This record gives sequence, C-alpha cells and structure tokens, in this order.
Amino acid sequence: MQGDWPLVGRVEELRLLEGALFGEDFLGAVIAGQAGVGKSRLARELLGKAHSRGFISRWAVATESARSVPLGAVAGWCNQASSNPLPFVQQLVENFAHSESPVVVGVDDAHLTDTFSAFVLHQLVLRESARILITIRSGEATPDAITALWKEGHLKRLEVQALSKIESDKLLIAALGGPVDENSALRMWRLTQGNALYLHHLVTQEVGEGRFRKLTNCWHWFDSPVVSDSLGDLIEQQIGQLSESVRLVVDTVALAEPFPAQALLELAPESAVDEAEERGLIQLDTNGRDTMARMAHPLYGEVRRTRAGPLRLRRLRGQAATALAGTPERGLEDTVRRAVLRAESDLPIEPDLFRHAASGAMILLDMSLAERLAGLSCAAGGGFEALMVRAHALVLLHRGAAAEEILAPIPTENLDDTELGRLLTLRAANLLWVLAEPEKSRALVTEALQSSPAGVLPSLWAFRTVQLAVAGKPTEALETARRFEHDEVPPLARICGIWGTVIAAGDVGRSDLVSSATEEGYRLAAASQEAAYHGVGLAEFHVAAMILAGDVARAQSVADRTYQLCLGIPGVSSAMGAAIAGLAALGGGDLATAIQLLGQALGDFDALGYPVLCYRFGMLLAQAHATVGQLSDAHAASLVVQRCRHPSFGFVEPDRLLSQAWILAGTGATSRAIAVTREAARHAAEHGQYAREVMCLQTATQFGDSTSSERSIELAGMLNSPRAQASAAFAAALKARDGQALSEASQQFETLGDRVAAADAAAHAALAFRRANLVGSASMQVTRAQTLGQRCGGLSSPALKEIVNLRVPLTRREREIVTLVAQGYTNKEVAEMIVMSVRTVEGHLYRAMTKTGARDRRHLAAIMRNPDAP
Amino acid sequence: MMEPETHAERVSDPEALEKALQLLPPAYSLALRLRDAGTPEEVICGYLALEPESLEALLQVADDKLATALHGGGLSE
Repeated sequence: MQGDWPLVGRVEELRLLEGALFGEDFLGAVIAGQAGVGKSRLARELLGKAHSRGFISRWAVATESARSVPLGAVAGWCNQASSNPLPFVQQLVENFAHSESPVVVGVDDAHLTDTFSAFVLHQLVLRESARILITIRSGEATPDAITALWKEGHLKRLEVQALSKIESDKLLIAALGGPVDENSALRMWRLTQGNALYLHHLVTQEVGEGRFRKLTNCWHWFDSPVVSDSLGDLIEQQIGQLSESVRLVVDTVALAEPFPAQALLELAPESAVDEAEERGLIQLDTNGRDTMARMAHPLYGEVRRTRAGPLRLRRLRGQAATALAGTPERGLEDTVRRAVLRAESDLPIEPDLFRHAASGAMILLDMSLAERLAGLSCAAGGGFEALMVRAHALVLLHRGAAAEEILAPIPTENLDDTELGRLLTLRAANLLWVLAEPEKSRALVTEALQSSPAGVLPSLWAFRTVQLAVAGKPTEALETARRFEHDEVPPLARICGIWGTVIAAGDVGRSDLVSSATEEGYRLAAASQEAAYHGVGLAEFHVAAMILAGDVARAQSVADRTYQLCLGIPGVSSAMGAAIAGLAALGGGDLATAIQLLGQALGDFDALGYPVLCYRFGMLLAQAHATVGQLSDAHAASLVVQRCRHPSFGFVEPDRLLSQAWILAGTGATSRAIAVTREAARHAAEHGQYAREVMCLQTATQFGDSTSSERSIELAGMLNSPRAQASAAFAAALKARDGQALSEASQQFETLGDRVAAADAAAHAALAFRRANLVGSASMQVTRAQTLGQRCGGLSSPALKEIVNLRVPLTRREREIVTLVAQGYTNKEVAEMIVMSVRTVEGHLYRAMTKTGARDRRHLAAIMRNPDAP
Repeated sequence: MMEPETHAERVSDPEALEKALQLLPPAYSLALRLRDAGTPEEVICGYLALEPESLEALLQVADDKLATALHGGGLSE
C-alpha cells in the first residue's frame, strides 16, 4: 500500500505535458494544481520519459524550511556552491548548455523556491540551456521569476484537476489489485473528491485497520469509520498515532528538510527512520555520498509545522541544529541553514557560526539575512569580524546611519593593518555614498593617511582613487592609483580602487586602462566575498566609459550580459542591471528601450531607498524623455534628480547639465540649450574629463552650435577615440556648412552606434544642402535623418524639428522664437528664456510673420506645423 | 485558442455527449460547456479560478478526455 501508486487517468495530461517538455513550441511545462492532486507523481513520470529519450535530469524539491537559504533549492546542481551566486549561475547555465546529453531540470513545489533558485530557473530558460519542469500549488504566492516562466510564454502551464469518479475507481482497482465494491468506491469518492493523495492515505489507514478488506474477489469497505473530513486532519490523525520516535523523525524533517540521514540517525533510532519512510511520510534520496531526508509530501510538513506547539518546535530546531553540526557541511548553504535553525531554537547563539553564516549569506547576496545573522553574532560577542559583516550588509542595504553607529565606535588599537584598512575603507565608503558626506569621507582618509601604519596605506590610496574619480578629478585619481600595489589591498578597497580607475580612465579617454582595470575587477568580484556585490557597479562604469569612447556595440554587449545576469536577483541588483542596460540603450539611441529600462530601474531604486542611484540614473531618464519630446516626463525625472542630488557624484555633473540642455532643447529654447551644453563642456574641461567634454561639444554641435570645431579637433588629437574623431569631423563640417562632410559625419556616428547623433548630423546635412540649393541631396538627407529618428523611437531634436519643413523660410533664431511662441509663451517669457530683449524678440516675430504671411501669432504657429495651413 | 468546431457540433448524439461530459472531472466538463456556449475566455477563467495562461492547456486536455470518453465509453487508463 505504501510507495507510489500506479498512474491512472492521466494519459491526456501526460500527452500534453510531453509535447511542452520535448516539443518545439515551449521550453518545458508547469504542472499546477491543488495539494494532493498528483502533480509530483506526474512530474516523476515525465522525468522517466525524459530518461528514455536520452535526457539527463536534475531534480530539486523546494521546501518551506530551505526557502530562507539563498540557492537552497538548487545548490546541489553544481559543485561550485561556495562562491557568489552570479558565477554559480553562469557555471550552471554553461554546464547544462554544453552537456553531452540534453538536460531536463525539475523543481517540485517551485512556489517555495527562494528567490535565487527562482533566478537560476529563469536564467536557464532565457538561455535555453535546459528543458524545465516545475510543479506549483495553485493559488500560492510564487516568486516573480517563476511566474514569468509561463507569463512570458516559455513554459506551458497545465492546471491538473482532481480525478473523476471513474478515474478514481480505476485508480483504486489498480492500487488494490482487484475489483472494489461499487458502494465502497462511491463512499471513498464522496470523501476524497478525486484527490489522489487523500485517497492514498484513506486506503492505507483503512486497510491497516482491517476495515477495508478483500472478500472473495472484491474489496469492501466495512463499517462507517470515523474518518476526518479533511486531508490535513487525516494526516494529523495518522501521524498522531505514530510512536514518539517516528514523530520526532517526521517533525525534524518537516522543520529542516533536506536533512542528512546521518544526522537524523543521531536523533532517532534507525527503526524509526525506516518506519517513517515505509509509511510514506519521508523519502530518502541519495546523491553521491549524501543521503538526504525530505517530506514525502509538503502537506505533511505543513500539517506538522502548524499543529506542533511552538516550544516543541524550538526544541526540535535546536536538536536538529546540534545534529547537523556533527555532519560534514557541503557548502555555504549548509552553514546558513544551520544558523537559521539555531536562531529560531532554544539554543544559545554561537557567535562564530553566525558570523560565518552571515558572510555566507552576503556571498549569496542576501543582505537582509546577512545583517540579521551578523547582528545575532555581534550580540553574542562575535567581535570585529561580525561587526564588519553586519556593517557591510547595512551599507549595501543603504542603511548608512546604522552602519556608521557600528563602525565609528570600533576601537582601533588592537586591529592589525589589514583589519584597520578594511574598517577605514568601509567607513569611508559609507560616508561617501550612503550618507552623502564626501567631505567627511575625504577627511577620514586624509587623517588616516597621516596617522596610520605603512601597512594600511595601500587600502587608503585605493579608496582615495575612487574618492577623486567620483569627485570629477580623473587625472589626480589616476596618479593616486599608481601609489599602491593591487595585491597588497584587501578586496573591498581594491574593487573601490578599480572603480576609481575605470571612472577616471573613461573620463580622460584611456580605453586601454579601462579594459585592463575592468578585467581585473570582474575577476576579483567573482573570486572574493567582500567584492562579490560590487561587480555589477563596475559594469556601470565600464559601459559609461565605452559609450564616451564611442564603442557603443561593446557597451551594449557588456550591458546585455549584466542585465541577463542580474535579472530576477532580489534587492537592488536587478534594478542595477536594468539601469545599466538603459544607459547603453540611451548611448545607442534606442530611446524607447532606454526609457522603459531606466524608468523601471528608477522606480525600484526609489522603492528600495537608494537615492544615490536615483540621482545617477534619473538624469539619464530625463534626457531620454526629453530627446523624444516627452517633456512632462522629463521634468518629472528631473525633479527626482533635484530631490536626490548627491554631493559625492561630481563626476556626472556634465551629464546632469546635458540632461537639462536636452529638456531646454525639447521646449524649443535651442540657444539656451546650447549655452547649457557649453557650460557642461567647460565644466568637463576644467576637471580634465576630456571624453565627457567631447560628448558635450558633440551635443552642442547636434543642437546647431558651430563654434566647437577648434576645440573638438584639439580633443580628437588628444584622445584618438572613435567618438572624438567623429565629433571633430561633425563640428568642422557644421562650421563649414558642408553638406557632404556632414552626411559623412552622420555615417561615422551610425557606424559607431550613436543613432541620435547620426540623425542630427544628417538633418544638418539636409539644411546645408538646402542652403546651397542642392534640393535632391537635401531631400535625401531629410529622408535619412527622419528614418534614423524613427529608428531611435521618435527622436525630437532641434535639428530634426528644423527639417520638418524646409519650405518655411525662417532663420534659426526666428524659428526658435516662433516655436516658443507656438507653445504659448509670452514675448517676455521668450526673452527671458533665450536671454534677449523683448524688443528683439518682437522684431524677430515681426520678420517671421512678414516672411510667412501669417495673420497673427496663432496662424504663425499653425504654419510652423503645416506650411499650407489656411 | 478555440477550436473551429467543438465536440458538441461534431457529435450527432446529444445524449452520448452529455453522458461523456458527465464522466469528466467537473472542471473539464464545465470548461467545455462554457466554451461551447460561446463564453468569453476571461469569464471561463473566472468561473474556474484559472490563470489566463492555463486555459488553452486545460481545454486541450478536456477535449482529449472527452474524445476518449466518447469513443471508449470511459476514461483513459
């Protein structure tokens, strides 16, 4: 009676699921349904079919108790369980993709997966590395990354129903091995309503009690037994009848599954473990050397957890944690699991265990759990390391004040050089980014540079590098970066030094340095606990540097990789992935994508409480909106930037000014936009941010400013980057009003991947050809500019607006003023916006009306939209 | 999503169809009855507490089970 019953009444379901799992249309299937309906049984059957088709399979069971452990569900799929999750996922995806045989990956009760395991499944699907089969209990809250599997159409979802009466009868006959009296079968059906698990339990109980027995050739159910009218009650009733030692086995597994069988044997006699398995309450799975016990059905665990008293549960957790301590740990997940069990038990806190577990949770990118475990370790006397882990987790959770409360009072007398370097780095980082106090951060490092032993100095110089870089002092940053040997610096300070090098090298246009530093940084992030979280931040600076240099294709490839890697990771990482992809999309002129990704990221940053990231990426969102003429959205994003203004981010001041310039350009105040763009260029030049200066001057040229040629050529000589070359050619061509050279500049921008600049250069080419009365060439460039503008997602730049109708014979200044008037601004307001006297504005308007024959302001505005307006 | 010709239209013997429908688990027979009555998909999903993405598969299985019930006089083994 125990063990699997035959699979009956599921031919049609199996057919459909096989189609989804092995066919062309889907990458797998979701088996959804109520508890006990037979989802796992179907999944096991399908895995059997997969094996016979030559697939290899990986199976995992997600459980309530493993949910608190990052990657708890899937850790056994890969040997590399002890490093941070991103390389783990990468390796897993690669292993499966390059497996000799195709792979099916299955997760039972996937609604219980921790968010990181859900992320793994999502990645496997996105990269098509394996076929996926999951079971889900209908109506349960499910991680978004799992829901997306069927919502995005990757997996086919089947809602498995309870058996019909006739199917239930057939199952009974097959399980009992003979016919069943119709009346008995009907009573069974009325009670169980086609729930296979309930039927299984009921039959097991009634056969065991001798009330369901075979007479002559037919099974009969005698008596009118006292049977619970819910499956939960029935399970509880059955478990309640077990001996104390078997109950101990069942309850321990319910609290701490998967639980090593070896540890279970320390808590209960072997006979009790055997009995729990024979009764079908737990199952033992052997994977390599480990035999792990799990609940045979999650419902059993739920019943026990909700019905056992809290004191008993605390005691049992303590016993389980103690037994686990005696078994070899397979990886970080085991340490974290043991600490979580112990934290909710009647045992005292072990500071060392909790500190190790907190570090483990950090590597697994679960900062909240890390903070909680480290806090418990600190309270129990975990010492310096526990304080550091807790403070680091708080910094990454952007709870800067709480981190400073921990870090500031730590006595430094007894710290060695490495410890002191780490403490100072973390504190300086918290002050710089989270608490937005760059001066205090700088003073801390300055003072420490004067008073610390020589062994601390490399860490301090590394952090000083990033302080200088983010303050917009790239030359000093790069000089400082030469003052320390990277091997001498602990990981956090080292990755900060690398950030600084990449930012500064990007700003001054040293692509060679950007490449070597990012390479080192990604390697460090993959290998180190402290730096693991910071690899994503590095990608941001990497992408920004490549866009500045004009290597848009590579920027997009790095951004795509980061986005895919971060998708679905809980906390701020997935929003960072989206923001970086948005940055690359903006750089390439894919404005719709940029708006979507940056908008999504900004919403997440705001919700999660990361104002520093709202500041950095808000300005890019404002620019993206303004570039397509969505001015109210641009203003809204600009307000966020204003609200979140971060004093530590001086290096992006030119970007902030550029976003303002694009908003002004969007309103039609082109001359003011040019003035702000030139201010941004001046700011960049004064700070030695030459690559940014190139970007600013290029934007000014896009807006129609023909005064940048000389400086642009000078910069092209200094930087030798594709963008610097294209911008110099563009500026020179605009100054010379050379249509042919402008159209060549447009081609250059298109080649380097900047579609917005390519469209604007084509529009200026059209205007130059028009001035030279080369109507055919002008017309071709108009078409080219407009096509490129459309490909950008509806570019609405001043140059593109200017070519909308070349038949209206206005000067650029007249056009600017008429555009503003058409938006409802008064002459006085226009005069203020473009810094001009009201009388001059009136003069321009008068001439515009005379040239166009407009009757009044409203007619003039109509003619601007349509030259044939009556 | 919807089949061009439903079982109800194909089966000439309404009594046999009704008998076969009664053999199905209630969710399947209800889904088929609602669909054959021209009920919009979102309403069927509402009745059956289904996610929209599940309806197509449910109807496919229901159709298969109905065909088995009609032709075999019972449901699959």
